[in-house]
Amino acid sequence: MKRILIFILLFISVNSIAQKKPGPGIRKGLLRAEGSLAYGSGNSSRYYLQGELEYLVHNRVGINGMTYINIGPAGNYPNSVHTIFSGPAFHFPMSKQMDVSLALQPGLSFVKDKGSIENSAVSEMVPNTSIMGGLAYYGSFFHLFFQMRANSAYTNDTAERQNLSDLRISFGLGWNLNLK
Amino acid sequence: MKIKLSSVFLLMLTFGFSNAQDQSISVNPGSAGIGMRTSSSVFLGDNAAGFGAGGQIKILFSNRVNSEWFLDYMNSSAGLNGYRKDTHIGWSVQFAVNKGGYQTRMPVPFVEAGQCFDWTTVGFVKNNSSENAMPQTSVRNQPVFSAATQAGAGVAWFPISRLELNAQVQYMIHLGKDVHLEFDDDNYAYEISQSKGTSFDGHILGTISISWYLIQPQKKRA
Repeated sequence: MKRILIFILLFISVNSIAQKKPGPGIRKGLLRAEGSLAYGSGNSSRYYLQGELEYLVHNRVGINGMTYINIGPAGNYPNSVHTIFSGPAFHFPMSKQMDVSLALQPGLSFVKDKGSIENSAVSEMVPNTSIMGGLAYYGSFFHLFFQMRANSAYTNDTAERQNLSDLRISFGLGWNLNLK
Repeated sequence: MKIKLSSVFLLMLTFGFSNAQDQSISVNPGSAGIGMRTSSSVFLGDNAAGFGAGGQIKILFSNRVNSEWFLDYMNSSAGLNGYRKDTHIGWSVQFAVNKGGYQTRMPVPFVEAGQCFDWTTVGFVKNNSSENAMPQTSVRNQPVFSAATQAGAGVAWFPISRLELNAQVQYMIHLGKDVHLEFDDDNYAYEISQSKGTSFDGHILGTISISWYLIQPQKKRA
């Protein structure tokens, strides 16, 4: 599985060399926003409300921020894991409207659970490290997107050390606006 | 053969930006940027290892002297039931080893040194596996403030103008109060120990960072 992923990543990067001009969708000055549901598959499956905002400071580089609000399911331990990620995202236009993006982003998770430890509820801030890949098809004001994020994190201040690492998948409709 | 995803990521950027249209030379002295970083840490004297997330501001003073003003939040596991959390705020000065300094498209090796301030919390969870069989009780200290100094080396690379990819390894020594966990023979933490003075059992920090130079002064023409 990992080798297939590596092959796909290399194929995308080599293919992007052939595309000399960036598409009309992705270019410097583009502001894009997305809101959707995300599914996280890990030791315990979670559902998130996902929000993303990005501004392209270069034809191929955007300053990106994402939030994941944990909305369920009930019964997971720890009960609540909200996460923010931030950092540059790199774009590799495949055609005038199709774009592949990649980002290596650190993040912070805010972990909460009531009464799991005898003398204090768990309330811990946990650093994350993640790699994100996205595929998007751009129109003038809207785009369709599919994203995957491999995320690594763990919490220590719980009854048993918890691995919060997961693979987060989301897709939907986003908004984009050219400001330049 | 093991291939790390982060290596593939860097390889992709190499290919992907090789035809970038902006071919101007990296950054001029006086440029300033912001970025994000991921760090890994191994504590030699505290049986702890982990990773962290943070950000930095970069200011390029001259062709060969760059500086990094950083904030890191690190979460390390210690033994079977302990942890250590460090918040670093500090700076490093990075001196390019090559003659041309940062005015090149090639990777730039550098040596660096700096200082930082550190807030450390250590703790452990007493559980049934421990000799101290209080069920699921969390023990932690109040954050302990100390200063630290660090030195190391790394490589900076500007695949396009304004964008810096940076990888570095540093050794950090904490000065002032030393706080650490005591472990039993089974590697379970059972006590928090605190003492004054310098401990040369510091930690090794490895950092990968990405920065974007927002401010870039134009070069004066003669």
